[in-house]
Amino acid sequence: MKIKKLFHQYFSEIYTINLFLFGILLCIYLHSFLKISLIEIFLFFLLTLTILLFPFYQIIFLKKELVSLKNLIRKYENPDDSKNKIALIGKMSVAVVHDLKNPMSTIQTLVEMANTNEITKEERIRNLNLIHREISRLSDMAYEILDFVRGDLILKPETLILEEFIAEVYHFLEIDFEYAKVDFILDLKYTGKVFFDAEKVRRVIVNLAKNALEAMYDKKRKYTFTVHSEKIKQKLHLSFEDNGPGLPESVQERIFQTFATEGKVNGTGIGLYMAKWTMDTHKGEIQYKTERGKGTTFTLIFSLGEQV
Amino acid sequence: MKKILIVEDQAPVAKILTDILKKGGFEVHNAINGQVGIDMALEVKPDFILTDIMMPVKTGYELIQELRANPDFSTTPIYAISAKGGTKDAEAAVGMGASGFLPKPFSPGTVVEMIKKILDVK
Repeated sequence: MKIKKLFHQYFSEIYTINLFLFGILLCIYLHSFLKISLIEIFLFFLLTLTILLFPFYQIIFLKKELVSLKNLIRKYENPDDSKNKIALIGKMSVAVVHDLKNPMSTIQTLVEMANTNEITKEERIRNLNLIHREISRLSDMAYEILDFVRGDLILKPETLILEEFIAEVYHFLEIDFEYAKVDFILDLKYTGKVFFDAEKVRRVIVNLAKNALEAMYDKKRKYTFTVHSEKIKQKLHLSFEDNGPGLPESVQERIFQTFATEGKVNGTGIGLYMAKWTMDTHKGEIQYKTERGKGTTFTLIFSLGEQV
Repeated sequence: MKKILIVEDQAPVAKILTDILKKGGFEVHNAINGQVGIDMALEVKPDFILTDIMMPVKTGYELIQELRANPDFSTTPIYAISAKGGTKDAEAAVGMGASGFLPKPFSPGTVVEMIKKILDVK
């Protein structure tokens, strides 16, 4: 029904405009019989040309409108897509509920500990930092799901200093690296200004780091996680290299899809899907290279354009 | 000094438990997932094991089943850590051979007292 209405509307518009232009043309044509001048002949040809070409422009525009309308209908009315999305959200909820319990009970325990005299001042400060971190984890999860369900990623980009940004991300992950006994190494060849949504990019990096840490558990090996940064042709290449076991082929096949790692017990299951989406929305790129037994490197590529 | 093995993938939980138990006078060892937990149990021979349930690589359930199948761990107290509302998971763990469960959130005093009582430590 919407398509029919749109057709009707556009053809009515074409008809009205054409009739109006034909009127003007007729006036000039009649006037030219009385007093023909070069300007009038020029105007006559120009208007005739406009009248002849105008419907073609209208049809091209109408075609574009129809394509976008068709996509819109497909997005909201295709039962398979909505079913898939609902199924994914359901699957995600199970993972999320499990993940929500952990930070919540950690916060409860830490708050309970704050009421006792059994902890030192240093431990109290550390516990407050942990509470702050756990609340950030809760909010990260909530926003990740919200963006996914809404199907819309709204960026709030800002100018940042890369070195400071990476230091903040490390502060957030410090306890995880310490616990996993993985060395966090910095190799920043570019440390200057960058322009992106700090919160969303932090979420991408946290996801990459957590995936790497989860895979690096062999106690006989010495593991590292290295952050490289480099400016190549007005672009920032920000890489995260681990020397873990590398990605299995089954994961590589569908790495940036939802639930690429079946059986994963932590996270929402959409971490790398969101990473790709975040980079696409930034008009950037995410690339990876991996080798079994050697490790994996993910590279985020941002434009260092006018804003920087 | 009695040896405790904490098998937990969540760093903050592991860190808090480690601090509490060290202050309570125990020697504490940490494992980041079920597989590392099994390896460390075989290596360290702990007197008490506290394990989370949902972990990567190998879950707490798998750890309990594999260790219980080993005669060296047939009587070792293995307690599952369960989040609030996760009592079904904890009960399932008990069904698979866990000695009991520690509900989260926990107060430091309660944990130390519970383990001391089980291990008969004064």
